[in-house]
Amino acid sequence: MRRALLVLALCLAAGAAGAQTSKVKGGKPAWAELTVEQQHTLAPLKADWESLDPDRRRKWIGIAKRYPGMKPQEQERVQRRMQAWAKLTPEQRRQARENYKRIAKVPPEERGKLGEQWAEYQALPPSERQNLAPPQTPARKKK
Amino acid sequence: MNESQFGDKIRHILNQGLSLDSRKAARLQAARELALARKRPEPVGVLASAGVWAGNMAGDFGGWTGLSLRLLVPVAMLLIGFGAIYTWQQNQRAAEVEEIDAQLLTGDLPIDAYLDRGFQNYLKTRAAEE
Repeated sequence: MRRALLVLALCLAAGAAGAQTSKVKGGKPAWAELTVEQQHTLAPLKADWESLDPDRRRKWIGIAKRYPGMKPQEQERVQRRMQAWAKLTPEQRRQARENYKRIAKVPPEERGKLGEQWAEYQALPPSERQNLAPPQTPARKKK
Repeated sequence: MNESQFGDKIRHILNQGLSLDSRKAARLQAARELALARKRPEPVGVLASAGVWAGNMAGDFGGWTGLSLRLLVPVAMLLIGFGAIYTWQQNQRAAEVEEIDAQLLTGDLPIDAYLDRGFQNYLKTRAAEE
């Protein structure tokens, strides 16, 4: 029984040590540790790389891995939007993801019209656009 | 002697039972006690230091090692289980965020469109009209 306890304790210790190791190894790749391809893809983020937390670094590396499989137009968009996206606040990114998830639920034939609808919306007079987005009250903002 | 005859013979001997005088019985009893007493201490394994540690741990538990094991093992299993579920959920979440971000960065709509509350409301109004 003591042996069982010992084995259990060793397993737990080994598991914790393993988790710690993987976190250290995978959690903080410095810019210099990225491959040349990844550095090339993520070049717009180079200046901000050190300020990104490990989770976000891993996510960007994941996107860099998808990059070769993207169409040229998509690659160009990623390059153009990357920096702006990284500079958003966590709350803005969360909001954008939520809105994306909602919009993504519309049927594909409707989704094709989104670009057109965005252009229509932008063509609206400023007063009309303002009516569609009344300023939030401070109480709601706090939520 | 074939197998069946051999079996019969053994059965016969076993049926006769074992008649031991009290002195032999006492010696056998003493030998058994000695063997059990020698078996009880934990044999020191290859991991000498770990063995010492385990010995200390067991010493701390005193007489209730069995109880603590019955309690500790399920608790440890539960913790391992929770740890695994938590890790899996974190990985799933990270994968979902990566997927959404990749689509946001490559999609037809610019990022501003997803941040513009007016446009979100405009889409809702349009959807309600249709």
